Amino acid sequence: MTASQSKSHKDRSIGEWSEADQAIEQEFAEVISFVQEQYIPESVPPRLDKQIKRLANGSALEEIEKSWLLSSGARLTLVILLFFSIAMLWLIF
Amino acid sequence: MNSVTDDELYRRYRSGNRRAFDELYERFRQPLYNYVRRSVSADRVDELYQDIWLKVIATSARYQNNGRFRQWVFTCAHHLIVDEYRRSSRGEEVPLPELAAPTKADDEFKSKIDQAILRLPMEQRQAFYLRHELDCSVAEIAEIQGCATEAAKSRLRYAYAKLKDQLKAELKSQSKDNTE
Repeated sequence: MTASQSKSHKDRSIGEWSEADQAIEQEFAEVISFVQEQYIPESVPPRLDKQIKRLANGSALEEIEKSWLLSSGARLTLVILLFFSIAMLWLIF
Repeated sequence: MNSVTDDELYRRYRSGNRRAFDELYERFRQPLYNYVRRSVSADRVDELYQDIWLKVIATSARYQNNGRFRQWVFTCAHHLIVDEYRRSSRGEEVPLPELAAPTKADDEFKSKIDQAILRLPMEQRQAFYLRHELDCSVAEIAEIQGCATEAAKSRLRYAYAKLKDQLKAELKSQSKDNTE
């Protein structure tokens, strides 16, 4: 993983770590930096990226549709009430 | 959009913002894929990776927006990986993850390090990757793995200690080869 890719997750300052974390970092500092240098990250297959984004968008779309149904129902009630009020006013006056 | 928290992006996604998901996905795709890639056999990686995201998408209502989104995502991943291993204990074979053969001579040493990590027991390997990929603290590792802080701490320490021994052995054999 490149530094820029991991930046959003690696913004923790050492001060936020517990004593146990700091002790581990100090005890194995050599191994940690060595592995960091030698590490070969695997890249995500692009077709998998596309597939997941499509699934996520489908799910988001469903939720929007659900809320749209609710809001159009509310709108319909409002329109009926409005017509009803106009009709009542016309009958009275 | 970088200053926006994971929780805020997830909230926006749930209210229909597709771009929010793309941003969130971009933040987690690489560490999550590496985590899965090094936890299960190669032929199961893609399916499991997709299952994790499906779980994140489908169970969005269960997430409580408590500022622990990454713990939640990796807990979902951990549970699915554990299920995979449980299947193996019921007789179905779950082979160890394997990595592609090094293409260059320079990569050979890197590959040996990777293999050494893969030889770690599953819980230790995962603790190692959570630290390595996400800089997770011992407390966060414990939360994701559903164990006590002390257990998470010793998993991480054992992982590093084994890697240290492995590295020493590798470097020793390399220097021996060079002198011969």
